[in-house]
Amino acid sequence: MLRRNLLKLLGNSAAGASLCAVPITLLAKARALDQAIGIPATDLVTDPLTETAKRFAASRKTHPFLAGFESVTPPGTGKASANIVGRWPSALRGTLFRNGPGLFDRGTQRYQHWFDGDGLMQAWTIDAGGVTHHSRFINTSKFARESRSNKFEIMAAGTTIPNARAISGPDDANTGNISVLHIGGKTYALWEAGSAYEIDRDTLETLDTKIWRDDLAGAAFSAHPVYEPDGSIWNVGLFDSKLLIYHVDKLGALKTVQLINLPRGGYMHSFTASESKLVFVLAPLMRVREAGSFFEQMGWKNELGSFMVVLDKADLSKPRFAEFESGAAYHYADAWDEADGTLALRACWYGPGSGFVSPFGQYVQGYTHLDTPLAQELVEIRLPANAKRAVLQRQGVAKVEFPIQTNLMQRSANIYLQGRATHPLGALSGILSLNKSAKPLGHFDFGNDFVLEEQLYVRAGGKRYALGTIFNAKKARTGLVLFNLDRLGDGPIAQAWLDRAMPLGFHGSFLPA
Amino acid sequence: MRNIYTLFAAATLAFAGVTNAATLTVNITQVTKAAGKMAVKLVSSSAAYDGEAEATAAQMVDVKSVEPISLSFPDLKPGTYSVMVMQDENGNGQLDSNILGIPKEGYGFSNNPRVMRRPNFDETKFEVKDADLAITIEIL
Repeated sequence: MLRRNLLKLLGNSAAGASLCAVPITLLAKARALDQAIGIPATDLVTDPLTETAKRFAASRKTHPFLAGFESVTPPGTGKASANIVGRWPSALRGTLFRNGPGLFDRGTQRYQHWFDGDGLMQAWTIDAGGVTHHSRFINTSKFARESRSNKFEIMAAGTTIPNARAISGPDDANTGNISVLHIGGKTYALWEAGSAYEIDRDTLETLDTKIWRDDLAGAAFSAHPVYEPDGSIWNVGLFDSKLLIYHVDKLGALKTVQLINLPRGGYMHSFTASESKLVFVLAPLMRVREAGSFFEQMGWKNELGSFMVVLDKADLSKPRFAEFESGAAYHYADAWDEADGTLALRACWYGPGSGFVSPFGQYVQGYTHLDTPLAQELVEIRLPANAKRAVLQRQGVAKVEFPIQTNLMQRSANIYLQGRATHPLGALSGILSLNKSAKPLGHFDFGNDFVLEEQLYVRAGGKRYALGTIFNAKKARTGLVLFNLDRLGDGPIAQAWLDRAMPLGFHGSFLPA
Repeated sequence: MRNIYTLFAAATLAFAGVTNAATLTVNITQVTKAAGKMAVKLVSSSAAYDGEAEATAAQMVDVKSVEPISLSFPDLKPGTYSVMVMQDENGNGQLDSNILGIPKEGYGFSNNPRVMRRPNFDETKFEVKDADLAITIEIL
């Protein structure tokens, strides 16, 4: 009432005109306030994870290879018979369990990093009836919580989650998505920064987190345990600058635990062992900020270099440390003790900035090419007795990964890997073997339209095989392939193809029937 | 109808009644285990936060269900405070942690800081003024 009276008094004066102009400015301010309190406006920028989802959906329509990074609808896929090509050996009976990221989308949002997807356990069963496949998500505490809300709520490995909840430790962010372990009659989904999750071998349902001992609840347990010839395993957990060593016997009982304080932290995905030693190489990838995802918090401190931790299996309490040039390995081929006390190992090695922390991240985001294809190479790392520094020897073989471990704790006569010098997708489509001088022996390449995933060494009926999955990137189909390890050049001797694509995965383990 | 002077006088009297007597209500949510006791400590300094000076107040309540727990700290002077909560699930009087130092029992801090380490006083502090205040602490 007061305002109306005032306007009447002012009439058409200049003051009155300016007073009429004020409400328009106020309107603009009110609109800004609407936006600030969440009233949608078409000119608001959507959140980056929603942009990612839109971009992926658009690209997927015209790029079938992106099916390798699509989400599977929970709870997983039902039993399906695979279409057989060739002849599966009758002596080969069992189930290949494979783990990997299977869910990248919730609500309108999509993850931006390959490692973030929730773990999807796949099982390929080979028996007299053929090959069947099914899959099921690992029901981690994160997966259960985010399934209820259908929102990403928990900190991820590579994607910054807006308004992520506070968590008490890495195990709250466990996706259970990296690998599989069979021991003591049980099967576990493995992550690396938190607990193993026990799963039912037949239904793939999640049972519970594995607590090896009361004070180990929630502790890191890596995705790459190393087997001893007696069937026991060594494993490791890394948290800040603490290294936790586990020794579990073949019945699944914990034998030994050793906590090692390191001179500094770093990053490690797997480790290796010779007959007498456990060997860990930590890359100088460490927490430099507290905001963002796990990997976004980390930065390369190349000036520090990587370092090795060597433990005598007979006395885990006395670590030996050796400095090393900066770089990282995901996977090791073998490790061995030499007569003069030198420790040697072979790895697929990444220099700093070689795309190590975010392989295929751009595909997850719906881009159709990689700016920085992975650049890894086969190296031998040598640590002479009493040396304070290890030495790296390049083997002249580039773009190889997933070494197939055939010999435990010995130098393998031949070395087997997945590789391909150039591939339009920056992927691996071949399998190859190298002799002791790292020169080519056997080789088979599926060509540009395929991505060959991890192949595993399997013995059956006195023969040596490589068994693993393959993705047809042109037709968006996933299959299982089998090679005679000593005749790779013959190509796959048997194949089994699904009528659909499954997401590309990480690691697996074969459980003989 | 009250005239403006009556209103003003009433307001003055109202202000006069609200000195140094705010009540802080702490709502504890996300409890996942109905076990043991919830220990709640209210501190007003960094030294008290680090256990080097006395706390302002503390309370302990039985955790009989996973429903949110609400408790109050009355008669607080205006100032800067922090609240820490710990669920002693097994009744051993301490926050159990695993071999790597990561807590195994539930805990929480005011402001619910998103850090994967013990937050410091600055990250958990909040202001109490003349008016009653309610905060929510999520158990991790």
